[in-house]
Parts: sequence; structure tokens; C-alpha cells
Amino acid sequence: MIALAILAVAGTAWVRSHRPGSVADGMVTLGAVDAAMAAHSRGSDVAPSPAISVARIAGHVAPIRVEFERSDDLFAYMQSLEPAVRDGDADAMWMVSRVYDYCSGYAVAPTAYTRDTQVIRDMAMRGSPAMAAARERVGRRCARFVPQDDLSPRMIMVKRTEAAAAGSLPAEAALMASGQPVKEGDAYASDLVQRVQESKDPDAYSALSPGMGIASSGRVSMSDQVAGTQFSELAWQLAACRLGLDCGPQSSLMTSYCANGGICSTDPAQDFPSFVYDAAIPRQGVDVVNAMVDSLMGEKRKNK
Amino acid sequence: MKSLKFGDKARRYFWVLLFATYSVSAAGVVIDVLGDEYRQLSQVAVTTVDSSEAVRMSGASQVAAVYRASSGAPFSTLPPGSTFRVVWPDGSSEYVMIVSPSSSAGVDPIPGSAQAAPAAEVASDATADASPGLGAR
Repeated sequence: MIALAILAVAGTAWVRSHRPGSVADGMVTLGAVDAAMAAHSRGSDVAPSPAISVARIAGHVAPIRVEFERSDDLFAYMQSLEPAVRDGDADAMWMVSRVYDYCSGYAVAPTAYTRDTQVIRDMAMRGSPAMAAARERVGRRCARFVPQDDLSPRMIMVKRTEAAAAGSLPAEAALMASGQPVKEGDAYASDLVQRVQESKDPDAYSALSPGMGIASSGRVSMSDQVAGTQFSELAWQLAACRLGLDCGPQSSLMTSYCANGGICSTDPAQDFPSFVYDAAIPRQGVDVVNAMVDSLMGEKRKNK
Repeated sequence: MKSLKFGDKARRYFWVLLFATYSVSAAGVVIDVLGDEYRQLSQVAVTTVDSSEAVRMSGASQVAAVYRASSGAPFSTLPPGSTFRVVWPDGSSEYVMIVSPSSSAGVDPIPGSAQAAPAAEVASDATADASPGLGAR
């Protein structure tokens, strides 16, 4: 009886999380992912649902965020942020925490990291080549960091906390997603999610996403949000891609998912949205995820 | 209200109990790092529950990554919010929670869940290639 009650509550939360948001004038255009979805459903007697477009909404991405993605030397990149950090620039502090997060696995033990990359390659798992390539990419970009720089997991949280205190919304979102919110309480959590959604900041969407999946399942404060399932976690990440986050095949997002998480595409040319629709979402779940992303973007899907 | 006969009650509670048992057992992922997939990873080879939190977080994160990479369904394997029990080479173990699959700080040890190695456990794998950095800690 208790198990059935839990199922009923979870089902209600899942259903409520699919309520569409406010309707805006913008319409979603369909893009290249359609081809991937069509291939996926070949042979089925049910027409494939159009997948969410990978085309980005036109918008301004801060130069320091673009530079983070392009830089081959993140040590030099972080040094270039120091003047802004000293001036209390919240976005610069947030980007420093992103460098810490990206490079931590390598920096705390460079020799061991390099050796383990070879071990992973020798394991000959299905994901071994991609995971080894991602780890090598991290090693190249973070090569000038040493253990004495203390890019430990604890320091990642310290840097995020400093950035949040300076006013960085992505840092605040990252802290909540990692279970260390700036403030406790359901009211704060609900307000933060609302602020992130209204900001249309791709980094904030991406930082919040891990906390909006199964981790928030059953939280009453999230019952009217896109939250509570693995699909909702991915929806926030897909929305971040649409808002301008670099989600390309060699992006820090794809590299981090693979090097740190073992979530690697076997196709080196595949970007994050394509990878998600290819590997994480069953064909019959595409409409569900599309509706979630539309809700987060405040858009209404036009059906052909 | 019509009272149920014993047989009906037994059938009803059998299915509830079966579902509850399945839910508990399905949630219990245990990763033993002495397995072939993990034993050569230097970042976990000398880790125990007495290692520093940073070492255990890094090790558990790497273990989770390899587990996902070999699963065939990486997105749905150990998603954020899930927990698993890691058994370190010396037999000690602890539960950790997945916070983020893409972050270097993506795993949190669950306080109070650490268990020392059983007294009769054999000593840790002497052939593992340990990092000098980790050994110095």
C-alpha cells in the first residue's frame, strides 16, 4: 500500500512537471536532429516525433565564456581572469570555478591521471576510445596545473561559493544542484529555479540540471517545475544548449560528461543534443522531452 | 465494507511485498574495485575509507565513470541522486551519492556510511600501480 502511494505521488509529480509554461511568440524550428530521429525510427509504423532543434537562439555569449571553450591553455586563461576576479566580477569568478572543475581530475594527480587514461584505453570497453580521448583533451588543456595548485573537489566548492557570494547565478545554481545551497528551505529552492529560468543564462541552466533530475524527485517545492525525472535533468541541459552553451563534439560539456562521467558518444562528431536523443531518450519519449524543453524556453511547438 | 478472505489478503500483500523487495534490491549497486575493470586504476588502488575525502571523492568518481562507460546505457546508469556502495581494495566500504555525472566533484561520500575492512579480509592488492602522489598522503 505504501509502495503504491509512493508511485501515485511520483506519478503526480511527473505529470505536473509536464505542464506547459507561458506561451511566447517564438516558434521552435526543426533542425538537423530530425534526421537522427528518422533513422532511429526506421521500420516502425509510427511516424517519428520531431526532435528539438539544435539551432541556438540568437543571443550574446560573454567573451570570457567563449574564450573558456576555445582556450588550449586553461592555466593561462585562468591567469587572465585574475584582474576581474580581484575586482569582484562574479562571472569571472564563476569561470574560475569552471576551470577548477574541468581540470581538477587531472591537476590533483597528473601522473596517475595520465597512467589511468592508458589503463582505460587498455580496458577495451565500448566507451574506452572516447573516454581516453576526452581525458587526453583535459590533460592537454590543463597541462600547466600541478597538485600544489590545489584544484581539489573541496576548492571547486569554495570557488563556487565565492562566485555565488559575488552574485553569480550559475554558481548559486551549481551549489544547489550539488546539495550545498546558499540558503536552506523549499522557498529558496523554488525561487532560485524560477530566477534561473527567467535569466535564460545557459550556464545557469546547465549548472542547475543535475539537481533537477531524480535528485529532486518527490520534492514538493519542485512539483510545478520541470523536475523529478532523468528526462527533466536532460531537458535543462538541452535548453542550455539552445540558449547558447557550447554543446559541440569537442565542447567542455561533452568532454566533462565523458572524461569525468564515462558518458561518451561513440561518434566523435556527435554534439550533445544529438547524443542525448540518440542514447538517452527512447523514440516514444521524444515528445515528452520536447515538451519539457519547450516549457523551459517558454515556447510553443508548431506541429507540421 | 466487505472484509477480505485470508487468501485475498495474502495475494494482495504478496504483490506489495514483492514490489517493495525488488525496489530495495534494484537500488543496491555495489562496485568492488578489486574487479578486473578497476584494479589497475592508480587513483583507487590505495584508497580506503581512511583516505582523505578528496582522494575518496576522486576515486569514487572515477569508479562510477568506468562503471557507466562499460554499462551500455551511460545516461541512465548511476544518475544524479542515486547511490552506490564502493568496496575499496582493503575491503573497507562506504556509500556515495552521485551529485553530477559531469563534474570532478560529482560524487559525495555519505557521512556515517563507512565500514572498516572485515577482520579476516586479505590485505589490499599489492600489484596495483599506485601513484606516488597518493601514496604520500
